[in-house]
Amino acid sequence: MTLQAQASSSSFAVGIPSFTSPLGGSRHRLVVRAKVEPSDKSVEIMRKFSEQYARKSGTYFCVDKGVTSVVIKGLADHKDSLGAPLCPCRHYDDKPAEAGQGFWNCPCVPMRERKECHCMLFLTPDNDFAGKEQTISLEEIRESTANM
Amino acid sequence: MALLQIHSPPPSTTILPPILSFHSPPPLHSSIPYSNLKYHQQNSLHFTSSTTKNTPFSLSTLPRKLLCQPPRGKYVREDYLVKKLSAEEVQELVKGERSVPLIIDFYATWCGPCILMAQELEMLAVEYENNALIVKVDTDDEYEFSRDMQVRGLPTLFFISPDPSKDAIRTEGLIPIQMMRDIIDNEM
Repeated sequence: MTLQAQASSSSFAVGIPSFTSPLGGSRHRLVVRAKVEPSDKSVEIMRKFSEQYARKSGTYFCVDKGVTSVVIKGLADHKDSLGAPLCPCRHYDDKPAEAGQGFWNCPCVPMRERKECHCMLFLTPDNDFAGKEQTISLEEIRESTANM
Repeated sequence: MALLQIHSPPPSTTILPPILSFHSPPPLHSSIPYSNLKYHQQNSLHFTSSTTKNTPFSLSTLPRKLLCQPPRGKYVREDYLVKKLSAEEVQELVKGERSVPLIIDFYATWCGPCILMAQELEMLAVEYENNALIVKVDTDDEYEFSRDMQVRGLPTLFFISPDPSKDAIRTEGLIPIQMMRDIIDNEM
């Protein structure tokens, strides 16, 4: 309890996203910012989802697993803060509304319809950046994003 | 086939010349391969492409699956050429007089292609030295500014010429470094 209270007032909490209120303006909207690391549980969930969806869709991860790792962490971060894995490679006017609406929830509509993933998470075999793997370990994710 | 579109300036306090969306030619099988281009009919026209690139960051001698070093948390430290700026600083830069093109990179922390783009821009900064000014803006920090600039897909680049009569050029997605060079050399 104490830890949570401390965490919410500082930006150095680990595993707990911090929320900032809007800075002035007439819109009273909760502004959600990515400030801290996503929780391990969410990263594991998104990792498993990514592997499973890559298999199901016949797509592959990037040759540079650093890109895959960063995107998985971004999805985990949005899952923690918004409850849904909103695409981390877009900017939104209203994140909670977008998460509720669902177009950009991973797997997003462009991916589901046309196998287009501009995050470079799921790459079709003809893509020059596509590797040969549909798996990524937690260790690889941790290693690639250790310095972020 | 290039497609240029003029956008009316965003209704905001930011001061920018009218913006052109820049489209690259359709995918070609060449020494610099392009992946599929796509086209979203949303608020603005944009494209996404990706390509291979050579990175100078291959320091480890151990066999690794990574093409380049893992992203470093201290990417804003002083010895990086591409500086992270606040919205006010960027607006000052745009309003002020410049003799070189200005390139603004809008990115987010957990956007994978933004990391690749940042590395390309560092290389470009080394190449162009004082002949181009490259800066970056974190869209999570500068939320209102990014909204005013109608940033949607990430990464988004704005190329702003020192000549105020020339339109700014905007690109979305990871673009090849050669395309960036072409825009700077030919359009600015």
